[in-house]
Amino acid sequence: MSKVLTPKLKLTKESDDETIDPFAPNWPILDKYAGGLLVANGTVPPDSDLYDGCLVSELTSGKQWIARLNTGGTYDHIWLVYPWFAEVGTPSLSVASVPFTNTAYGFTNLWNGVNTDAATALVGTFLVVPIDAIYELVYSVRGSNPNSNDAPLSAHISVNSDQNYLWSETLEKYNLNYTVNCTQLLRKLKAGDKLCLNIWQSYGAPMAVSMVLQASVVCPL
Amino acid sequence: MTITNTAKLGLPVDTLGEGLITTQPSSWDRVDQAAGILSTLSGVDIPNNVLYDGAIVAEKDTGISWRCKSDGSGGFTKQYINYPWWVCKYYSNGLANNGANANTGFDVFYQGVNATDSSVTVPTLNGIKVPIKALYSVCLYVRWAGAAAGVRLVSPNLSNGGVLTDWEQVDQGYNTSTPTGQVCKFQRVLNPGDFIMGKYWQNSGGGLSYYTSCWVTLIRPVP
Repeated sequence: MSKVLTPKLKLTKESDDETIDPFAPNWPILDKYAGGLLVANGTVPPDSDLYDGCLVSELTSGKQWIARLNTGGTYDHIWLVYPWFAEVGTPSLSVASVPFTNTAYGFTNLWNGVNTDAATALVGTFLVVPIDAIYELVYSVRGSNPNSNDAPLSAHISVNSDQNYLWSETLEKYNLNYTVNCTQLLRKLKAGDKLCLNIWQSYGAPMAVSMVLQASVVCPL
Repeated sequence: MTITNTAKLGLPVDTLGEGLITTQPSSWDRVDQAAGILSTLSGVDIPNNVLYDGAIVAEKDTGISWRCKSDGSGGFTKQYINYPWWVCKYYSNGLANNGANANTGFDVFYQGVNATDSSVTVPTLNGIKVPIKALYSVCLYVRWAGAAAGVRLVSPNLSNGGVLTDWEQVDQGYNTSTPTGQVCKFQRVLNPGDFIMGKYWQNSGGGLSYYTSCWVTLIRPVP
């Protein structure tokens, strides 16, 4: 009787003499894959340890992925869970008074993060997202003391320097003290997409503005 | 020989001896088949004799995944784990008459995840229809033309049934020469077939045009 293995786990079905022989090699395999593989953060097991459909969990990051066999015989990572959050902002910038003309403003600080740091989250002054996913974006812009009639402060998210805001911008009328815009947007982004804020105001003079953007992964794609 | 079968995978067990020794190869095949997360393509069902109670299935092309729950008669229902779904539609030709509600949907499909124009759009009304029972996040934006009087109101309109509650609407004063922008955001558990439209109202003294967009995201499936 020749030795025959199952396709995914490589369990021994039949060995050279007795059918009972497979127990010794098979128990360790079942033990190894019980509950999925557990790996150190950022570690990718060798292909020889994976199989199509294998669940891989990182030790402390909370990330989980499915190993999916591709046509090249290697494995793609299909993210199941990807905890990621970044709060970036710029405490002080000067926005010229140019009605209806957007200017892009980037971020100078990473104030909070989950599974990221300033070196990876910020490329130049853009916030860069790590994976293809649906993201929740919450941003707030605060303009100081315009005290002028009918002087809105506009802000909207810009992805890869686009201007296609689809009327998702905030447009707040002046207040005597501070004008604060805060809104939320959920949208699909691709790994490496670069985010900043487009802002304009029509106060009639430069306006001191502070801003913050909070971004999180809602669902990996 | 007393044969029983395990509850999930149906593996044969002889509790009194080694009478089933020759079935071991097929049992190893069954263990192998059930290992890990099963995969398929959207619209392609895995046969019931491959599934088991608690099996996790993931679609290769959509990222949608679910846990199989036995219905007790050989079939399985889907308990969704992940369901990536997101839609953005907009409408650029809105007009609200003075003091009158304008209930409108969104005629242009901009982008979607696991959604197409035909799969989400309610005919004629142009509402955005949701696919499964789940918690959804809705962002409804409106940009009114400038006008120097009155207030502006935007609120969600669920399945063309009117405003949900007073505190889900957004009231705001006007801008004169520049547009007035409003954002209405809410989260709600919706059922398959429920759809989202917008309700717009203003009293500037005459008709007022508006642009509007709606972004609907499935946050978490609900059993």
